[in-house]
Amino acid sequence: MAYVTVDEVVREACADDGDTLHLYSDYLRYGLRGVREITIKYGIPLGTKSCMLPILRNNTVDLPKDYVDYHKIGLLMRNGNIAVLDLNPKMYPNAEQDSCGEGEASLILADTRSPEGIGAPYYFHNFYRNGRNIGALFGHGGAHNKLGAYRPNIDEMAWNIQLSSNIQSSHIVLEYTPNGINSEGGLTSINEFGYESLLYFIKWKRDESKKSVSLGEKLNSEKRFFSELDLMKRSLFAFGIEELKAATRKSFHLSIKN
Amino acid sequence: MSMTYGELTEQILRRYYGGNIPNDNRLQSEDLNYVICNAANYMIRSNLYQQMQMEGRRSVDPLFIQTFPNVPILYDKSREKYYFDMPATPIALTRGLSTYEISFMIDEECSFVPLPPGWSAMSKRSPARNLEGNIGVMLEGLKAYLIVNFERYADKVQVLLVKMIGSLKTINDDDIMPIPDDYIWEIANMAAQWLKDPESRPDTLNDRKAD
Repeated sequence: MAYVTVDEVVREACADDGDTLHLYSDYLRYGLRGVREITIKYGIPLGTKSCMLPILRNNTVDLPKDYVDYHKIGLLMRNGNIAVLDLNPKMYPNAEQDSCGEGEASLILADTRSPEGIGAPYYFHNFYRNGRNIGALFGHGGAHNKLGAYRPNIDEMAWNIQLSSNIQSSHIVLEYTPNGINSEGGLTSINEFGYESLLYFIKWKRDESKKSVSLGEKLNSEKRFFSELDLMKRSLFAFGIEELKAATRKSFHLSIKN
Repeated sequence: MSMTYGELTEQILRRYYGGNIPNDNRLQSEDLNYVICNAANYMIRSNLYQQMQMEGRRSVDPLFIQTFPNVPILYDKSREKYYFDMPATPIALTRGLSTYEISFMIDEECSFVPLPPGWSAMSKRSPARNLEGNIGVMLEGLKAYLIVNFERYADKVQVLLVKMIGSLKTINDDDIMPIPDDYIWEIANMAAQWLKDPESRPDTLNDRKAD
């Protein structure tokens, strides 16, 4: 899958409209706004990023600046796979700070097996019914992940992920959708499938700002953008035959019963 | 064959006097310079607006472009910015179009991006402020400030290549007119007419077409 730079699309849009570099800054603003809108508003990741982030003393991980939404939060295992952590929205975000304003370490078990208000005796009691040990624990829910749990803690002040204390690693792996904007001064790049839709987004916004363009033409540009957006969606999320085969094989694995 | 500035001056005088130039010619070269300059600038500007109306394109005929190599880069200590002085007086075209292209001497592929006035403040928090790595140049009167991404080249480059549509004020008698030949006839006519009847000069403000 190739990537094209926004700079390339913007220059193309300038040339299409018969303009010179004198309007590059206008077109660039539309281009970057297009990347942001396509990614955030229409939910199409024009690129996905993966990074290793260090776990801080207070069991939190600072999110990258261009973070929009996560796909996967997990730990890198020895076999090279990413083992995902458990989402626990009930987890308390650790707001304790020391005198320097640094997050303070505190114990957060965030065990999904502990329902509120019910203490440890519940487990032992529940194993027995009518005086018999029934050999299983009912009524408190499953899906506990022994690797640990996370809770995205996204607000203006705390732009981080809260983790439970039992994670046995110094880093987590975060796969996320970036807003697509390279804020460090380099080149912003997008998936090549997004080339035409970004070009038409720029054209649409440029037409909207022109007094001399008729309403019909403006509406036509808008329509062209949305039709290109649809085409891009279809190309991006196309399901390949190998993916189908892999999914089938996986479902066979799942179907084995003891 | 392209015409020199001196030849054009002579042609205008002949047209003004209806043939031979008399010995007691009262017209000074300063007067002629002034009208030629105005006529040529008017022609260039109307050419741009004609093209914009006909084709919807914001472009100028490349035949009007003057090339100035080796324009020195200077440093403004008080503003801590690199800049250069315009090698000619630009004509007032929209969006600074008269400063057509600014680049390094050899690498014309990476020509600089001309920025609108107030860009620095307007783009302060915008991701577009880095211009995707391109060098940004802002025009201020007869100076051009290199305000975005230029610092890393500052110690390697001393001169620039500037292509612009400048006013003809700086042209000498022996210089070739930077105007296509088919415009010379119109310029000569227009200049002669203005000398005879100063009232017929076009109103540059009200004749200007909408952008």
